[in-house]
Amino acid sequence: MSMNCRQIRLGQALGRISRSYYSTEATSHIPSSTTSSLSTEQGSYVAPSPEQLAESRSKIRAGLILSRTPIVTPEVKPFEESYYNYQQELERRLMWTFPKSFYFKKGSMAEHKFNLAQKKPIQSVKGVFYERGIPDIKLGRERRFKQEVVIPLAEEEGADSGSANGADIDSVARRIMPEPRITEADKSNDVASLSRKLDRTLYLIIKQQKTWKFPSFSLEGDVELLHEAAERGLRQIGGTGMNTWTVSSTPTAVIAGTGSIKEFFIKSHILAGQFSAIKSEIEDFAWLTKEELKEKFDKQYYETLEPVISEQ
Amino acid sequence: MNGGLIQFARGFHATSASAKAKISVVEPVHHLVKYKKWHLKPSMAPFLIPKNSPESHRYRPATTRQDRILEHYNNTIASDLLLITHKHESTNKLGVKTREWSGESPYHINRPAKPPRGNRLVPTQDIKVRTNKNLPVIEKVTVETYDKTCVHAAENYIPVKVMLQQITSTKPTLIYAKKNIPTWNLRRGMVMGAKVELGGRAMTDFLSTLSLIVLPRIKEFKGIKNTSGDGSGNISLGLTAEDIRHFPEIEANGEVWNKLSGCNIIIHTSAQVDPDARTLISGLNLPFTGKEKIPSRV
Repeated sequence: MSMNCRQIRLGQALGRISRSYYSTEATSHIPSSTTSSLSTEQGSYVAPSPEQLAESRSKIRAGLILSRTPIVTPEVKPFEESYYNYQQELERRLMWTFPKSFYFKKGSMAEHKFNLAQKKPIQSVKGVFYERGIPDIKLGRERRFKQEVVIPLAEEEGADSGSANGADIDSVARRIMPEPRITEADKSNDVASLSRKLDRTLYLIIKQQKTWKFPSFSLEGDVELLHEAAERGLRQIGGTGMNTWTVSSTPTAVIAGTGSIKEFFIKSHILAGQFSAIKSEIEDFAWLTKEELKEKFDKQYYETLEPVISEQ
Repeated sequence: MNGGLIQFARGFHATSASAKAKISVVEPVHHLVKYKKWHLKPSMAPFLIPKNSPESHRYRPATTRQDRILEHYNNTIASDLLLITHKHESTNKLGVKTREWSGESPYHINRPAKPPRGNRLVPTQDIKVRTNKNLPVIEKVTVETYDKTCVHAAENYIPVKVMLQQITSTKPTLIYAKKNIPTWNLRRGMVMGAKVELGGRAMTDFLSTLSLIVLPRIKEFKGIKNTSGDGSGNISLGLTAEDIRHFPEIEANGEVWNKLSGCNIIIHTSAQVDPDARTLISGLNLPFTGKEKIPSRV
């Protein structure tokens, strides 16, 4: 809901922004006598004629950088993993002793089961050589090492109720098994699938006239704003079966092309649904990571947009 | 007192503060730490080891695993936030500040500063032009609980403290009454409850438990109220005793908890104004509801 409010507010802001962009566009083409009348600083803003408006609007294009944000955390590198392990070991060593009496009522069945599941520490006996040092036990805890708390599993009572092979998928007692990080789409290298490369940001690119680019659309009518054009254009090439969220009506990048045409890029995220290409509009489409974009794009085009493409 | 505006004023103490014994514990000697003689006895030596060294007895490991929310912030939220909070052709804006006394008169010593000009009593922060260097981040989260039954039964702070420790996995500190309120039988120094300040992994764990497990289970929850916020980027929300039951740590052995108390959660951000803080927090699956008031100074 707050996002709606913000969208409205940003919409107002864009009115201001697009006008300032528009006026810089217009001043380069309109005779100097008209330019002074356009200037708001002198307090007399004169609306441009429909012809002037259409001419300047035809020189603006709304590009769209549509991304699918990472779904899972990035892969941990071996060095990071060993560092995390070391820190975890230290943390567990410094932890307080598990307050058993708080969680299990004395003499209850639950306490009995918990006690049975625990591994007893080695007792200190005089005259015995201990390879790992003399045990230092306080309240049933070996104080020199981390405390291993074993939680008695409910599955052990009836193994069939909690089977991991998914026999009873509706059972609340079933064991939670994580899905693999490498999906079917990764194995088959299906670039049209949104379920590939789960730990990376994927970008939608389309192929038109044998060139791979981010989608780009012209402004329609006299009042359509950049982000509105981007949202409308996306539905025209990819159908209405997706939910997208436009991050801001402020463009994130600009490419000044040939013939004084400027292409402003609007940033957006796909939240649900699928992009289903409409064949009459585009030749092909793909969801790619940053490295893959570099291979597909023209060198100059990639280098201009490289700063706004996420590394991860 | 020394080196300030009112340097000429006579200090009515026997020894000047600058003449007390000081020591530098780190090289290079760029600042000095004041010490007392008993600090120098051998049993105090461990305190000289920095807290972030594993040698120190106060050391606690901080980076024990990957931080899911931090990764999300770095990969997605930060760049979006820069775009959303960007304002075209914006300039730095100074906030309203309290006004110090000039120091012309000796009576100005220790006189409290005047409130800011206008009808606002609280000073506001300066708003700087948004760049990638000053993006709002969540600095810390405070969870606090007041229990008014502590006035009559002082031991009631114990379940409050244990509850906070359970849901945040951090040791809480006690809160004391600041002044006497005779109609409530409250005296200065009485224990009123407990609070815990979270940062790092403990903070992000708490926020994700809140946004993924607790708040979705509360039937009446529509979102954090848009009226919440202290005007300088800190947003707070409240949970009732019934809401606390949804925390998995409490739910696992719910029968143990005879009495639970509600709590206030304050999310401290580095944003200068509340709307920027709301934009950041809404990126962490914490929705907002109601009409949002945009301050005129934004």
